[in-house]
Amino acid sequence: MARYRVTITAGRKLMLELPVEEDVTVLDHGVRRLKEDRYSADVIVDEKRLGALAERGYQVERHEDVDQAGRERQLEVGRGNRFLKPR
Amino acid sequence: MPYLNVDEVETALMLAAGPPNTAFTELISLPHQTWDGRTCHAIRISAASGSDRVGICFTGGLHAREWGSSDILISLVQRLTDAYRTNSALTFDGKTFAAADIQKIVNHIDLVIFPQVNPDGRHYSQTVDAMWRKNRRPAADPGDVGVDLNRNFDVLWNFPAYFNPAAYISDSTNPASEVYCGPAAASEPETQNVVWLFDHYASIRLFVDVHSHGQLILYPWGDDEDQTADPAMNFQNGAYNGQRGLAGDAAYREFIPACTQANAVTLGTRMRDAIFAVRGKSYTVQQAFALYPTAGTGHDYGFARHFTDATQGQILGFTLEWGAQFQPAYAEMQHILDDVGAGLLEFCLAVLDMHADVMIKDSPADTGAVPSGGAFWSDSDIFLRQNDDDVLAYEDARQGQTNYVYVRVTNLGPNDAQNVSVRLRAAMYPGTEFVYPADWTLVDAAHVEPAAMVNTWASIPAGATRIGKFSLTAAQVNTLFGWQQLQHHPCLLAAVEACNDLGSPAGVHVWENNNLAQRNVTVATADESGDVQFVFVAGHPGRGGQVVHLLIDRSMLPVDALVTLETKPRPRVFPELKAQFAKSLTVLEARQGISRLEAGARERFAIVGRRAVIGLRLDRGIRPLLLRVHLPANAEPRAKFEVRIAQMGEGRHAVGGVTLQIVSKLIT
Repeated sequence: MARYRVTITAGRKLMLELPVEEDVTVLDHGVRRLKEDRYSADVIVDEKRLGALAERGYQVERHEDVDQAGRERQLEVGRGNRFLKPR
Repeated sequence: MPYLNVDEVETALMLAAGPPNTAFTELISLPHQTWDGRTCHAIRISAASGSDRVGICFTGGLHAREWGSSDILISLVQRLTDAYRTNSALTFDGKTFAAADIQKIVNHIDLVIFPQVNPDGRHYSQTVDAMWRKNRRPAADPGDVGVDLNRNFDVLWNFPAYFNPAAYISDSTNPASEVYCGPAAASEPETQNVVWLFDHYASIRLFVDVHSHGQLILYPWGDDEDQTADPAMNFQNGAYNGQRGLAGDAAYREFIPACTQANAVTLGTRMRDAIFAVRGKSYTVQQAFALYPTAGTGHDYGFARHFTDATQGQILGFTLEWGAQFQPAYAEMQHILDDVGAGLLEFCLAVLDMHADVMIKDSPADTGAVPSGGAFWSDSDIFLRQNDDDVLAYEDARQGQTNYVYVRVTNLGPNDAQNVSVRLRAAMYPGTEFVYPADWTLVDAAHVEPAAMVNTWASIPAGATRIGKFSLTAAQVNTLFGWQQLQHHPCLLAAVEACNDLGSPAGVHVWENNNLAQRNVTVATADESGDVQFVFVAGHPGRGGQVVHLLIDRSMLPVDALVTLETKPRPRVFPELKAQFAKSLTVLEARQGISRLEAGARERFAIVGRRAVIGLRLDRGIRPLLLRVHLPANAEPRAKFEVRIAQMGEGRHAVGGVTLQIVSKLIT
């Protein structure tokens, strides 16, 4: 199932429930307080959970499919060693 | 131009540290190989040599999938070294650093850059699973491979013991988790390499760990909300175990000194503004704890070291989360190289604009450079006075009354020093070497704390001095005289700190740390026959086998005074230190005006020249020695004479010393 980078926004209570009640792993990415009792965080969730989060009252903004984007980016990684070429 | 692969990062680093940059670069080979057998490298870029230089460390690539972090730091290394070498300006789109700024950074900062902390993980992410975060620590179950390096540092690492069970902490003891903290604190070779840099490059006072993503600049702490009021409410205090990690409660908040917090915001803001100037990207400066706590992170570890071990310099750590996704298309990544490169260079300039170097002079000629040299134990800016008369000259203590101690603090600049404080102890020890912080902080039978009358200043202008003032009660003075009767010479030990003193060396001895000073004088009155006996210990209790050189300077005695040194004094002295005594002492050399009078059990030497050197080998610890002085009969009554004894370290600079002041016999 596809996994997406998602920006989730909600009040403090809901955001604190996100990892506990919703079993969403929240790491260090983009966790910020936007204004009084309004927080956001970037997380990676699968397609199925996206809908469930929206139903629970979270504001969900879907971004890229991280695995698909990752495979594309792997094609943008250097081959060989560019610094060993004659200058 | 694609993302750098693992080998390219290493090669780029080696090229940057080679010709034509060798005059101001050093390639650092990290000592701990990764699980896949890779040797990592860092680079030190610096032409700095003065005592006021500041160490800054940038790391990148702890998390495998955040590829751009290593690319950012390699780009920075290449552009900075080129610009410095060619005396050129550096432009990052809308943000330009003048050539003079580039010169300033390299000439005044020890910049240590470790761009690829986790090469195994990076390789796996770039070739197999792009979203891989951890290192590649092997495991029997493939699902359990790897440790999250940014949860593996030794700060609150055993998080279940420290945090409130209700707090959602972004750490796990489950090896399958992508935030698995590892089997032990700093268990991973990659973590140990970062710690090694902090240990090995003692000038490092600031640290930026480059990550993605989120466009955030985070400063300590990550475990709970910051507070500046209660130093006892801190991560080391077991009374708060089980209470950490909840947002919005008053039960626990993590202590950070107010001025340090202000400095963190200032430095973060300078980074933020420089990033914005490049092409208008808005980053946010905030405390690492925003809603969810973390433990075992690199930036908190750097900052915590100073609190757990005061001999470590404070490392103010930041995490910079660049960009909006882990692996942006490389066309966008190239813009991010500019964004973050500009932010990091601006950070360096901001540090230089902030820091001040406060010191207590070890002698009138002391410039703040280390080792300070000279007789730092008797010529320092610590002055004892019998009366509170504001005279900055040393005089002997007087019993039966309050005495005073003045400590002159100098701010070497280049900026005003903030929140400056001085502490003072009078300590008892028959040797010559004191070790920070214990001797400067203890209050016990061997350490007296004089009362502070004036010892804090909100600010000291660059180049200015201030006088700290302390009082010794009559009872405390009696204690000092009591020590002297036991033949332990009392010593005054002072230390100065400033919130923005980011540039001073942080050694544990007076001669290697310009924030420390010592005044170490023993006064003895010759008896009717003109004799004085002075026992002291050579060596240091913390050392094993060692070679000690003593420099005995008798140039301030009458020419016809007789001076002898006994290496095996009788009767036994300092019985309370017997457990630390060396079992064997061998005289390796005696030169420059010293001759052996007797060997064997009563081995003794005559000091006949103005200065003499004797080399001793001790199998361990310390060893008592006896110096006898016989003044000639024609010595003027009440005249003062001196003998100085310096203990020389392996580098042949003084590591300790004592001055014996002799008052010739009194006429009754």
